[in-house]
Amino acid sequence: MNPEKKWFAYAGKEQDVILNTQVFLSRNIEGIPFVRRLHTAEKQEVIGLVREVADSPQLSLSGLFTFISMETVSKAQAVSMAERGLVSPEYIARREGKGVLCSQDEALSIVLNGDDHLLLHTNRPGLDLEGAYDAADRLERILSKGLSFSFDSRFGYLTQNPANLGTGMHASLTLHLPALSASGSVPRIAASLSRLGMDLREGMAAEGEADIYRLTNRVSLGISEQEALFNLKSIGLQIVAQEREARKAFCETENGKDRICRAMGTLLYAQVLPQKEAMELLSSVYMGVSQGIFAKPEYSLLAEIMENVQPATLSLAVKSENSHTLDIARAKYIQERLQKAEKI
Amino acid sequence: MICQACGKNTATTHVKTVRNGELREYSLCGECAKRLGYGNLFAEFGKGLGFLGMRSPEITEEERCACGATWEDIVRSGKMGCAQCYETFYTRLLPVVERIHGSSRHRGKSPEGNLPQVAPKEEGGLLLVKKQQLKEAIETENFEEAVTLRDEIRMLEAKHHES
Repeated sequence: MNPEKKWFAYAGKEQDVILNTQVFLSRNIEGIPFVRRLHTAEKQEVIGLVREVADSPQLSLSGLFTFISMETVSKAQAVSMAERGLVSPEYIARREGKGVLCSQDEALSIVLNGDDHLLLHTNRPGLDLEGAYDAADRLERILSKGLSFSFDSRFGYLTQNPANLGTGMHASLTLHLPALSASGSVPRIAASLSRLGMDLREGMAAEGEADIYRLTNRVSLGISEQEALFNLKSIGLQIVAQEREARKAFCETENGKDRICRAMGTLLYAQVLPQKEAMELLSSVYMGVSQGIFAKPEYSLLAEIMENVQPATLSLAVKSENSHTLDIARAKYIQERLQKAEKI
Repeated sequence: MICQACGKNTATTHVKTVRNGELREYSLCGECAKRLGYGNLFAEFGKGLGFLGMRSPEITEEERCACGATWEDIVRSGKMGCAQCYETFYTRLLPVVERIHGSSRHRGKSPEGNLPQVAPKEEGGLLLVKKQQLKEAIETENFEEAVTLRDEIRMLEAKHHES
């Protein structure tokens, strides 16, 4: 797999429930129409402008980013980027005139010509809204020295989709909610949060199988960045408390403990593991670690495993697209990583 | 084509997702799209003015923004054409923006960078809850309660602004 240490390989706060924190800032360059109205050549110009600023020796970003052109990566690489959350599935559907500036640890990236000219994206392990926002804000301020962003005093930062107006900021917490999922409470919680301007949604395909959800602030106009982050944090922590309560109850039952222990057993010894099953088992083991049923592995290792066993990502490492081969490779990889952790 | 989520209504939106190492496209109806977070906000809020009995601004001929976008384009695609569109179609946009965000006034940072952030305090979370209660009071036609809440909210917001 990838030898360089990525952002999720580090420990974070409240990591038993909050897997990671992400902050997105949408920006458009003044004087250039929004993405939908640009031809490929014009989109490439936008990329050129941003890359120039990013590489400028006068600003402090030089050397920080690598540019990944969506026009030249392979299909598997593009899908892997979506699996890893670097870009959305929508983004990879059409690849002309698109590219991503990405830091080596993937904690910081600028997605170009998606919904807007620029989408600044930061990632932090666990709960760290202040850290994630700070990094995004600093990046934005530096970029704004070389680029003028469309702004209106009434509507704030102007975006292609009016849902992103105002601060242009969407912050989200990735939550692991196996116990609340098992009790069927999530739809009810999501409905009440929706009325408060927050969305609680199931993660993308594979993540859904691991009971992973995202809590995001939907409203970005009429509220300051700090207020939105504060509200997201308060509500996030309330859900964390609810999940912890539900987990205690779940793990007190023999059936609950059994599910968790069997999951570890399968992961340690299975020879063939399909993706869906692997995610369900990893979810149970993650819960087991949080409840002290297992002392190891660490959350950061589990996060790393979850990321690396995604089908397209795995196919790049194993150099095969055959699903049976991948299922074998997946089982072997998980076994190796878990058994290594046990020995430490 | 039938919606792949509910299997009942006609599909109007196509969303992309990644599954089993492949990019997949799913067709959804308006309701399911909204529920799963893929709604077209203009379709939801932009066209609804007629139903609410509100008069749409008079449209004599199709206005076109400098970038070439018409209001029709915007509502159909759910996307604005350029920054200037916000000025060109301001009157028609205002109610849509209000519905989406519950506000039409920016209160975050600006490019000058030194605008003071509205600092959250205890009232921050409380304000959110009170606003939600106000909405519910209005929906249930409990107007006395709504008036009390509105006054409380005004006081909290005044305190916010003083700091």
